Amino acid sequence: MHFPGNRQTVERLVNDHYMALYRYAYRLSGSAADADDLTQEAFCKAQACWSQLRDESRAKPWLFQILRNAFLHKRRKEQNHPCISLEGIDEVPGRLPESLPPVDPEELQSALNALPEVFRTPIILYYFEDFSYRDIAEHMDLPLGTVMSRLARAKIYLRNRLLAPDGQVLAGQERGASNGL
Amino acid sequence: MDCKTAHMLLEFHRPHSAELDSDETDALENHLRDCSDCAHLAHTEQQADEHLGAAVRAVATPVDLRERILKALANGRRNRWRRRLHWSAAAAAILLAVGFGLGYRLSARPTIDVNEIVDNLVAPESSAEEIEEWFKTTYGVKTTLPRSLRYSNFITASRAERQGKLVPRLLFLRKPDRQDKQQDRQDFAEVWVLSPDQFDLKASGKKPLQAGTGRINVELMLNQDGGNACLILYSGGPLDWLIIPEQVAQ
Repeated sequence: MHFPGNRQTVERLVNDHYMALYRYAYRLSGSAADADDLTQEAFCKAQACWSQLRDESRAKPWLFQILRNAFLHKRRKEQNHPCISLEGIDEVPGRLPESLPPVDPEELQSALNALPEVFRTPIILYYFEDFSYRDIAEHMDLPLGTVMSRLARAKIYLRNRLLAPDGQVLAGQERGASNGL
Repeated sequence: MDCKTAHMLLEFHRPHSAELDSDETDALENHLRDCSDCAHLAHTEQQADEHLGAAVRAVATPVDLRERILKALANGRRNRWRRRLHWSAAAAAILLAVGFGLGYRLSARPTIDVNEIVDNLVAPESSAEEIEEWFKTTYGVKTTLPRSLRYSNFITASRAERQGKLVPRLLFLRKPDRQDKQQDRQDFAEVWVLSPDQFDLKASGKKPLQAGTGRINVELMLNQDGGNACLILYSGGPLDWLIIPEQVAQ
């Protein structure tokens, strides 16, 4: 299909992916208003450069890529985003409690917001399940090993913040991470 | 498989995504059946992932988002068509203007009519006054010509461009005199009449007034009263056939 000939194809693209795209935008930006704008912007950009999509079966990662670029562009303009450091996080997971506590949605988003984008993006895509490690590496234009390492550290950080009993740290070898990690 | 390898494979193992090949998956599952510690680790890891994954995916989508996206896309399509239409209209207008311009230029090219040229020529050997009158009639400009030239050798006149200024140009020709060995060759001179309103004659006078290549010489003849000057391009030697000596301004 070539824009603007087939409106049905674009509509099908919206029907198939708008929810996933909005969820991604929301988790990336941490704001419903920003997620709304980013989702619409991503579809508008996709419509404008539809001819760049060679394989329609790759529409979803393509849309996610457009959305991430839009998000990063917006972020660059805003600047000044304090993030925690994951330098001290060990990649070996600690022991989880037998019964996992419910995750507070606000605390979850706050924990994601505190992550640098290079850790936040892979962990969000990882939990969306239909992105393989290779998809994530391609999405971020990073080697697979770097993605695996960032994922491991981001997972441990989230578990520490969201699943650990009060005051306890799950990863045994934490060294000097800020923000209570 | 040992526990260390199993832990490493568990890093990659995901129930909903085929990250390991079938051999690795079979080997890992066999190990997990036999090793309760690794099986417990795999179970808790999977549980934590599912728990956090469900929380991460739990984002409520605004009910009217789909409609708003479709509306934005429809607007985008309309704007794009509008932009294309504007560009097409602008391109068509430019083409039309270029076409008209070219057409006008082509249709405005003058033709050459030798009879008309001959009819409008100033007569050879005309006096300075007659040539001034001819300039007024032909070009609508008032011209003052030097009286110190021998108009008996005058051939024709025209208006030509000299350094961006339109000035009167007179052509003089001396016919060879077969009887006189001193004057048995033909000489010509082109006289450009330069007005002080058009040229800085004072500054020009500070530069050399004569130059030449031998076959063609150039001389600037200034008027001491501050009137028109003559720039003379001529062949040959002395200009006594062109200039009346006692009236030359020095």
